[in-house]
Amino acid sequence: MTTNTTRPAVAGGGELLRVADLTLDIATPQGVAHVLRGVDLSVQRGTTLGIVGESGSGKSMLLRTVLGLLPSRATVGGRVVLDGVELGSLRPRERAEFVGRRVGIVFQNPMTSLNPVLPIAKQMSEASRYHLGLTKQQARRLSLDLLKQVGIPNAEKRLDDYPHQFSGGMRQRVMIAMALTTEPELLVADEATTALDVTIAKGILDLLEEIQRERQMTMIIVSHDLSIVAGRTDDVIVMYGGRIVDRRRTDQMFTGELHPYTSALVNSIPRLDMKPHTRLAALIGQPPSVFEPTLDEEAANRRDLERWETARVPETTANLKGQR
Amino acid sequence: MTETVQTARAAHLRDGALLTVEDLHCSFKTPSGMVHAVRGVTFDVLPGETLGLVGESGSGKTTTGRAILQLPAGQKGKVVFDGQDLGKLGRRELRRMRRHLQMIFQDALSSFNPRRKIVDVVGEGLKIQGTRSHTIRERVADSLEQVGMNIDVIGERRPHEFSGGQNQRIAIARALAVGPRLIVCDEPVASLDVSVQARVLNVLEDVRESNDLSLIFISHDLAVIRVVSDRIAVMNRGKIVEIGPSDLIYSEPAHPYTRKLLDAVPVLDETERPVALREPLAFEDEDWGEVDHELVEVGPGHFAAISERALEALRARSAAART
Repeated sequence: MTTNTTRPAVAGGGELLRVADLTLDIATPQGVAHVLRGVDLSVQRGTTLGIVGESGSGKSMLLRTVLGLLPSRATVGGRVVLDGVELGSLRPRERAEFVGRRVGIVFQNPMTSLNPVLPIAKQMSEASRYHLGLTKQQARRLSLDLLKQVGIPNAEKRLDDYPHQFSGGMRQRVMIAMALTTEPELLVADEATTALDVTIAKGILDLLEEIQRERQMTMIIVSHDLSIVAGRTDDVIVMYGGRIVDRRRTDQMFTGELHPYTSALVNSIPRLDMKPHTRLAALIGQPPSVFEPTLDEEAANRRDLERWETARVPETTANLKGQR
Repeated sequence: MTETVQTARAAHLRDGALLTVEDLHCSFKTPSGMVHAVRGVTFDVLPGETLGLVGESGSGKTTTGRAILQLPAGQKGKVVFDGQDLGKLGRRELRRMRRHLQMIFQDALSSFNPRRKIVDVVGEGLKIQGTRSHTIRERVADSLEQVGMNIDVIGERRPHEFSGGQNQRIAIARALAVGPRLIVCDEPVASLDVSVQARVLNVLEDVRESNDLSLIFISHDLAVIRVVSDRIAVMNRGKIVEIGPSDLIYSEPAHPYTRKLLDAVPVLDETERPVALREPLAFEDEDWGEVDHELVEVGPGHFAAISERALEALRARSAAART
């Protein structure tokens, strides 16, 4: 069991990633979407950061902005400093090279990020040949090593298999192996286990944790589910409406008064020690829209608090009727 | 229909059930051979009861859920609803029967016709049943209201205009409209955010209570199953490996697979996990992944597929605990 045990002390230390006053606006036919509304964060080397939020909170777009994976209609403000280098000062090609070597990413749906018509060995070799300048043979050997490390049985035989020949969990392991190709300093898992069964998901998260410890990597886990992040991270950031509304050390998640939004998220999660037919405390209504022009902070806070308060008490038949 | 040999009724079946599934088998032909998805499943559901059906992908839980509604029917075994053997009904009779048996799916949006308005999506079942159109509108309005929606506001809109959680509520309304007595819910919240999931679960609880429904709730997540189910059946490799009252399944899980699932659920804090997981089973059948043990009674109304030896060890331990 890995969850909620004391996490080992941070190796190395020092800041790997800093994001300062990051904003992201995207022009759409419906108007300008204000996706990020001023985000600040810092990730220390060797630590794991959890980013939590509802759909539309901006958590995935925050990652994309950091990695420079944005559509051309996007306008970015603020600074991103990775490994001491301000990314905004690099030309797109330099930036892609710089980030590509230092960051490995595992997305939710490996089927859409893997090429269905190429055997996985070929896809895995792409990064090592491009970033590390390996020969075909060397790249193949590296791919094999990595597949073994992530626990793919019969790795030799599976090198030339196509993505669809793997199960969901195995495919996600292939993605992790691919992400490790360039020996990144930062590994990012964006809803990496959301589509998987609980037992498979646990295996993947345990694997990520083990790899991180062995390689002393820095990790960011993004999820809509606070319970995925609890016990597997050092720090947690909670996003809402393109902003960070709560940040704390994970081991202080449940000590003292919780932030009203974090508390709302906590209350909405079903627990193993609840009784049958327990009504959960649900957040009512929609989170703020990205199209909303920037409100003054006070008005935004007041409005947000109002919604968060809806999840203070479990819904009952009586109050459900009242909230049509 | 093959003549089924009359065997003794399984010990975990109860009197007064609304639905009884006996020795259900389902298999499919695939390019790589026959797949036996369900290999002899027996359970029942009482009126007003919620049965949680839990297991991983490939455990046969969805196939079991669909076979209850004869979508398609199982190849062997019986599904008896309200005294009627569904496998013996003709097409027309079955269609009439489906008024009492409804299903909602994980991906609500893809189960709707995208070109239809919400009033028609929700009223589809009633139309098939031959209900008159002004009655349809009334019933649709009522079932939408039960899931917290107003027909005048959303009736003329189309499915793609709604979020995942809203569509799932519309799916619940559609199932409710025909006035069912049992709804099979197949992973209804698996693709939703936690905050939205809470809302849908609450709505489901609400309509269950006010319509006195029986539910079969299929999920891979034991935390979700926990808050909805009176009784739980754990499936693995096409068979039920443990079945019983929720409280007992969580406080005294007897099958290694149930324990594995309980151990894998991500939790906010470890204290919510059953205390029983902190110590190993009295005796663990190492072959549970390959050998099918018979269901034996391990507690009041609580059955697990474990060997004689494991059962003896379990009894010895609880006897020791009592003294």
